[in-house]
Amino acid sequence: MAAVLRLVLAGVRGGNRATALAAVVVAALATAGIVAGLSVRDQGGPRVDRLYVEAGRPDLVVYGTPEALETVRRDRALADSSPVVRYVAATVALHAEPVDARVDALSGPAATGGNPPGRAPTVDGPDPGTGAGPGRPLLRTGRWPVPGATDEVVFDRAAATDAGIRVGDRVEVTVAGRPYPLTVVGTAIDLTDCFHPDCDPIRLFVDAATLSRLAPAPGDTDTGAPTSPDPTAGTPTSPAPGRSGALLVGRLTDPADAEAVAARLLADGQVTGVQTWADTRDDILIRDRIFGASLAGFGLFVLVAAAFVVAGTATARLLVRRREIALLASVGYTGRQLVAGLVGEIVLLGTTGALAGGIAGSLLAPYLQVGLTNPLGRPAPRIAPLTLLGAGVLVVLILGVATGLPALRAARQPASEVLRDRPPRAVTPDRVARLLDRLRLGTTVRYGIGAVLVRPGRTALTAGAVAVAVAALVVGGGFTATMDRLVAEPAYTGDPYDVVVAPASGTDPQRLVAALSGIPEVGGWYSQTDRRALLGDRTFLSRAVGGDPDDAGFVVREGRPLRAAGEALVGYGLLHRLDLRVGDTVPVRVDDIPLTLTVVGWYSETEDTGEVLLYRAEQLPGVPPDAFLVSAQPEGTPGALAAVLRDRLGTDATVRIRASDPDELGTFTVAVRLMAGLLLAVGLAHLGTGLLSGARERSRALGVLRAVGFTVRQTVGQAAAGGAALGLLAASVGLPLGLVAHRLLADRATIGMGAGPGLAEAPPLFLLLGTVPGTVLAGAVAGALATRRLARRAASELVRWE
Amino acid sequence: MADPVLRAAGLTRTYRHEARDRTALRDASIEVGRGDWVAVTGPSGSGKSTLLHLLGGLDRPDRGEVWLAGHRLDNRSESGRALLRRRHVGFVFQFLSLVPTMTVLGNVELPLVLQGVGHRDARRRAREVLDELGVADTADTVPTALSGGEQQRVALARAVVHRPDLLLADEPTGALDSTAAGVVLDLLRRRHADGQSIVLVTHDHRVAAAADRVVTMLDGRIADERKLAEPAGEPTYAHLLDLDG
Repeated sequence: MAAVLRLVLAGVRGGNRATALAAVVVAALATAGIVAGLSVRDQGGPRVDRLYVEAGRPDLVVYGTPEALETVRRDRALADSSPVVRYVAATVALHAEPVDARVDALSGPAATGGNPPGRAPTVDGPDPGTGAGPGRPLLRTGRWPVPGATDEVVFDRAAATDAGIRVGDRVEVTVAGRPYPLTVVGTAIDLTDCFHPDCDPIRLFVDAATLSRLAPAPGDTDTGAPTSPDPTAGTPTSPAPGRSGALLVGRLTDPADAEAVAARLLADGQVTGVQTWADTRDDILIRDRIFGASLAGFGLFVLVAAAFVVAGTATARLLVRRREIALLASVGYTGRQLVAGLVGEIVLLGTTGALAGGIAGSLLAPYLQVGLTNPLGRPAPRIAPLTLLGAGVLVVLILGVATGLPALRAARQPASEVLRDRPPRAVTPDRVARLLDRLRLGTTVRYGIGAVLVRPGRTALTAGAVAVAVAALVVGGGFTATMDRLVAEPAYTGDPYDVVVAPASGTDPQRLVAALSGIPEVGGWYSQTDRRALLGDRTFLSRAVGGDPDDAGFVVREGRPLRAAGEALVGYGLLHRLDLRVGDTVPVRVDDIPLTLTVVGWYSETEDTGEVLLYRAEQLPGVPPDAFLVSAQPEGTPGALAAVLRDRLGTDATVRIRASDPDELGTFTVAVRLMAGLLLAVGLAHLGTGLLSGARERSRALGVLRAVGFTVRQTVGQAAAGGAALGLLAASVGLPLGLVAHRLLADRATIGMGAGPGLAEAPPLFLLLGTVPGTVLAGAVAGALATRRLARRAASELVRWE
Repeated sequence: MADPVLRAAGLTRTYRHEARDRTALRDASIEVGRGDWVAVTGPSGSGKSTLLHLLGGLDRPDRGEVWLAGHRLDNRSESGRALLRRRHVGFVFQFLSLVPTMTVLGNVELPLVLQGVGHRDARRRAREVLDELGVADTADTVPTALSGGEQQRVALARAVVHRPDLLLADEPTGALDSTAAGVVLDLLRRRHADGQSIVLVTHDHRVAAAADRVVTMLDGRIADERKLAEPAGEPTYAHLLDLDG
């Protein structure tokens, strides 16, 4: 053991520093990618779970009339519940665009102004002072409103961070077209739904006195009817501004029963909407999960590239050290000891790199938690020992295996031949040499390609590393293109519209329909009404779609669009969850109305991770639409359309432009591009070092060629030709590999989002067309650079090269 | 000497290694006439190979001049020397003289291809020389499949295929057993008999004895230069062995 250890340490101390550094760096990069990815994917969950506990375990959020909710409070399934919380729907300008908001009363007597007698004369919100009851909002900055204050608001933490709103700022909350300036006195996290911008409405918290001020005037009030029972994730159809409602947050005796209890409450028909914590938690974490999985996937890409790099470097390194190895054998080292020593050297270097990379990945992870930073703040860096250990062991294991084969070959070389300075045997099958001779390629190209083929193993390793880099580049390009498409064509995420028109309280929907039909800037519109639906004991979001079916431009992936009552379109998530097929008939209950629907197709939808069921609005007679989703004419823009609609509809409706690319998506694509670029740099660096070590190894042959009459330019040219051949080989493998990997990874991501498979966008054309010539050129340049210094040496020096 | 194929005067070459200068060759001068065979001998490190490399333009002297076939060689660039070399010089080294990634035929036709000779003519000429040197059957194999003696014969074929003015051989038999060395030396003598000018570096007196003239080097200087008596009859390696005995 001591002898092996001595060999390991001697190798680390005396070996080529550049190659040792390369081993450390690639191990560090691979580990950093994996650790960062796993941290992003896994650390979000515990953070959210801690919030869940801190918020008193809000297992269910139930919407309905105050009376119905009081009944629910006594349900035996509930271990505890919040008081019934009254809210009013409003809008707040964020980034100069109105955003739906739900203004919750925090404590004290609720306003009676907006409530018909006997409905909810007094409704208490959660007591922020004692923090009692599940679902209490969690104050993060500032303070709660002073009891009785009428102009103070605690702002949604995620929205405040996103919009740069701070304690002390004045914001304008618009209720039923009337603006109310309020002072932000704090920011809080609320777990009754996922966070802005993934879910709306944003949540604001005011004293009951403030809510009384904001509540609609008598006669323009909520009748208690379920206007928008479920302001769920990302829906554009949160309660119409000015309308009020109530909710209750419950902690269950057995949280595992959440789905069943939700189904039972809906089936009873007493409540108008129920959302389980499991759904909310999934919505909160989905983005981090996808991003984390992608990062970890790229980390694995780096690992594969690292394996190629290390194997190639080790081969070259051991070839240079063959005499030293033979000497060690001559003094009594066994083959096994030599292999152990040589592998141990890489393992030691790899462990150093893995440790550094693991720490770097852990430090980097907080900056990559794209979905949680706004609401929860950036977490402190945390080193997860098990993740670090697992990633480190994986990286070191792969590097060890990658070194094993060249080490075995090095240990098995006949010592006597090496000590007699017999050159290493090159492997060039006769037929390859003959083929190259017959191709009449020209001496320079002929020799360059031959030099690449002389060591097929190392050529494969070098080309493999570049191929992985090319594949990563293709994946990165494709991934970015796919994300760009999802942003640019929102129909792919289930949002085939430009502008949301939410009717104000009391507005006759038919008046809006007539107005929309008469506005030339409107290219098309459809209406939607969201309700929780029930199938057996499972609940999910259902959406009644009205208007011209042809104007609802959902992207139907299989089957056909909705055309008539009795038909249903389902999102991929629901299709998968309920194991549905096109043609199946499903009996669902919506608002206590039994509906028998035939699934005529499935479509791309990311809301509620695709667990959405669409059906025609005619099946909910008398229920007004939550919103009208309006598309601009082909030559129009959403901004121009919104301006026209605001002008024409006035206070009849709130108009807002569909939220587009959140900043996190930018972070995501930047990170993917960064990883791809990093891989490309690693691949090209390896190509350069591989060609350099190959050129050094062939120095004598180059000297012979020079003696025969090769010029300096020809000497450089042959290396460029060899590098170009390697690049061609790598691109030929990497391009299809990347396309396949992109397809698989993108499918995994879009399935995770709920949009279903098959949405992978091809990488940009310039990338596809440029990959092969670009890689060939890069190889040629790397080859030329690698040989440039050698080519300038005197030929006499080369022919004497040992 | 009228119209020497090679003339070098005052060649000095100093190498710098780890901040220390080492002069490998000092003020060496030599002339090689057409058809001459000059052997350069001396102990290891005496500057034999350095001299040979300077004569063939593989390196450039720090001082002195080299004229090859009427062209001054030492003041040309690396590529300029390569262009002269490809026309006027053929090289044979002690070992690893062949390009491992090319077939034997590819190696031999290389000088012709570099000179721009057409593929067909180059191939024909290469086969002729291989046949002449008795290794025609190896034409389509790669060098690593050949024995050391065969490799040197192929190297010799490549060195003469373009009929250079000067054949420079650096220990061409140094890595061979006596039989293989004898065959190579016989071939050299035949080429010489056909008028080939040869400069051959060797530390083997038996090989040096085959030359017309022997230049002995010591510590980077030409210590001695003398003509040998013309051996009677057809030269053979066995004859040289006898000489040694």
